[in-house]
Amino acid sequence: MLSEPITPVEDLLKQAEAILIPWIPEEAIQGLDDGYPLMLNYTDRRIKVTGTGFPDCLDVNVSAEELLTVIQTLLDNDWGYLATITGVDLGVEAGEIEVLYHFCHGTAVVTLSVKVPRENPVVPSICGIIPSASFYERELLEMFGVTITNTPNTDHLFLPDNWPDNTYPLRKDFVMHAN
Amino acid sequence: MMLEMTQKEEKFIIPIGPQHPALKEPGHFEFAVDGELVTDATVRLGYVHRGIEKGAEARNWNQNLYLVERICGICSHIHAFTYARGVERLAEVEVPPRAQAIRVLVAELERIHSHMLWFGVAAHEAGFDTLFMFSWRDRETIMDILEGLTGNRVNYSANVLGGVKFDVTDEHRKTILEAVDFMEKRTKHYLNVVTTDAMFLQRTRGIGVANLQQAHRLGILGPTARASGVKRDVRVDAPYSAYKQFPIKMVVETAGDLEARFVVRLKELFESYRLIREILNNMPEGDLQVKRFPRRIKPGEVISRVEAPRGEVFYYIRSNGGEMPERLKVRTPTMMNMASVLAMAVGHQLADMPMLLVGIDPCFSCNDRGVAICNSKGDHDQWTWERLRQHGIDFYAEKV
Amino acid sequence: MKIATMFSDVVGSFWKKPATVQYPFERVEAPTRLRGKLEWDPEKCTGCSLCSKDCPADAIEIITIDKKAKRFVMQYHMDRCTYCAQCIESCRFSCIEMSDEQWELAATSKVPFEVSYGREEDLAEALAKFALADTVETE
Repeated sequence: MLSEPITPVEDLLKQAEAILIPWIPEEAIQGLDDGYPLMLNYTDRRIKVTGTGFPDCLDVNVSAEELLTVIQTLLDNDWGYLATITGVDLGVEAGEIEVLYHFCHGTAVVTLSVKVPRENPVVPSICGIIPSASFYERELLEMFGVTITNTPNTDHLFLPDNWPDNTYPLRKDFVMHAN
Repeated sequence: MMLEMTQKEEKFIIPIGPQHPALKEPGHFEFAVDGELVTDATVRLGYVHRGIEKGAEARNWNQNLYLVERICGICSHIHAFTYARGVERLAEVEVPPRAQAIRVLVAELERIHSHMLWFGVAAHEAGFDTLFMFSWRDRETIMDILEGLTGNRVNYSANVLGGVKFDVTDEHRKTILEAVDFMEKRTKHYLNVVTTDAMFLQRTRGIGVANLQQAHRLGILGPTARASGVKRDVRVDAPYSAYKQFPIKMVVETAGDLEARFVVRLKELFESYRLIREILNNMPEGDLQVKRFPRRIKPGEVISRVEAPRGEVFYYIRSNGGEMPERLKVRTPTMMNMASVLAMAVGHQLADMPMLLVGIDPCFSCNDRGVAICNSKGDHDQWTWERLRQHGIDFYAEKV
Repeated sequence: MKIATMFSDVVGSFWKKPATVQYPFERVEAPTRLRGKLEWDPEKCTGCSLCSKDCPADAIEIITIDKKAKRFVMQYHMDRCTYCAQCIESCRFSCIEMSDEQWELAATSKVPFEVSYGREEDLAEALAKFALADTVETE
């Protein structure tokens, strides 16, 4: 009935790992000596960095400087498509904003996590590699106030034009008025 | 011809929306035109932005189920389904098979009503109102079934965390099967109409072509992408819930024009009919809900992806161990497809714009108050809402 | 390539009765699962307030008269209700039901949307309490 067999999630994640190996911390690889070190006993040893921890996800911490290289590598190897960019405010105490780049391929999801300081959040624009990311970057900019260098369009997408400057609704310290 | 050459520097911009008779939902488009040909297009969204992502952070897990259901009035079940599936994964709760089958059944019934609604709207934009009226009459069959099954025509509230609210009885089974037979007959007729009617084909064939490379570059999703040959359907690529037991066949066309988008959606309906019959004839036995669903959910993150009628819905849910989510991110398919309209618009006739726009089955979900006035001297001036309102009051006061 | 592909449908419609129903002169019976006005049974309620906590629209208030004697009053704000039936799911003692008959709820004033449920003596006591609270506030 089905036209094509589904590639098992393990295989997809193995491919992703092979591509992303330079950015995977050494602690995660140490002590494992088979061909696909990380995939042995897959469910136990998957690299949990941001903590999704589901067997169909691979989460990798990436610095803002390396981001473009990592994404370019993924695309060069034809692995998946950009599903969305999520911003998460980790709170005033943590002082960080986490920017998540979700890539989907079949059942597997690879999430690249970039943590930037809350006071001066800057990430590079990925529109040069993935033009369709422009909407996501505009959303990230207006909702979290993350500066995106070299992004083609910085206009408001969802918020009104008279929205006050330096007010970012999805940050934790933005309080909604009840009713 | 000479005249055109000398005036090329200036752009003539036609604003469309947010209130416009051709578009039933609020979105503001600006099309730069050269004669009848569109040379550039921009979009402004946000007219129905309700801050749902922020609102979700102040509601508990149960309340959010109904909040997300109100993101879209057409694919309401899909949002609740995606959310519930994510939260259940996070809480490590296994949903009983019968509940999963019922969820998929409602999702497929919703797909039929959504595609038929789109079909009617698209026919209306093409000026084919007979087709619009008949397809909407037939769509009522599905609406009645959904009402009888769930208790509501839209916003069915079929889900609870850990299962579904209602069962499918033998009586429902009979009425659904009858309705599906009727709909199948009608869909065959409609497929024949959209592929053979000479007048209609002039509006659709070869219009708004997005080839495979463009589709990949623009990140188009759902049936719009499948009409361009992109083999991407979450139900097939990453089967979830009862799609594991009841697999679905992907419908792909390669032409990439408006006609292909009609064909893909109508052919998908046949798959939905087949799946509904299969589910109803092989309904797993068992409970409808889990006994207890935790009120607090352990810390963690989860990604939940589901194929909505318009394409992939992507949820990212993060819990900090409390009664409310810390972050709920919703990415709807229209967000991505909207960008494709802007790219496809260039080089087309202005009269094709409404058709191009409905071709992606847009679902506007998101106010600007500034109006750009271009006065006779040709210099641009920004007007605030207050100034425009005052201008209106003064204008009519003078007239009286 | 054909023309007038919908012609047979149009002509055929002359011999069919209209698909529309002349409501309110003609009525289609509402399905039994229809979710209408909420109904509450005070006899079974233990006052756990889960219905109120889980209500996405903030439409339910449970007012405690006497916790030990299990005397409660429910204030139901019908104008806020989204008829999602989560309260029915949340209630462990099945005190809540939704009517499939009372669904034509439109009114010209907001008064009929404030519904109070409970035993008569409890309602009277709650009313007296609120009236007292109101006078204190205005003073």
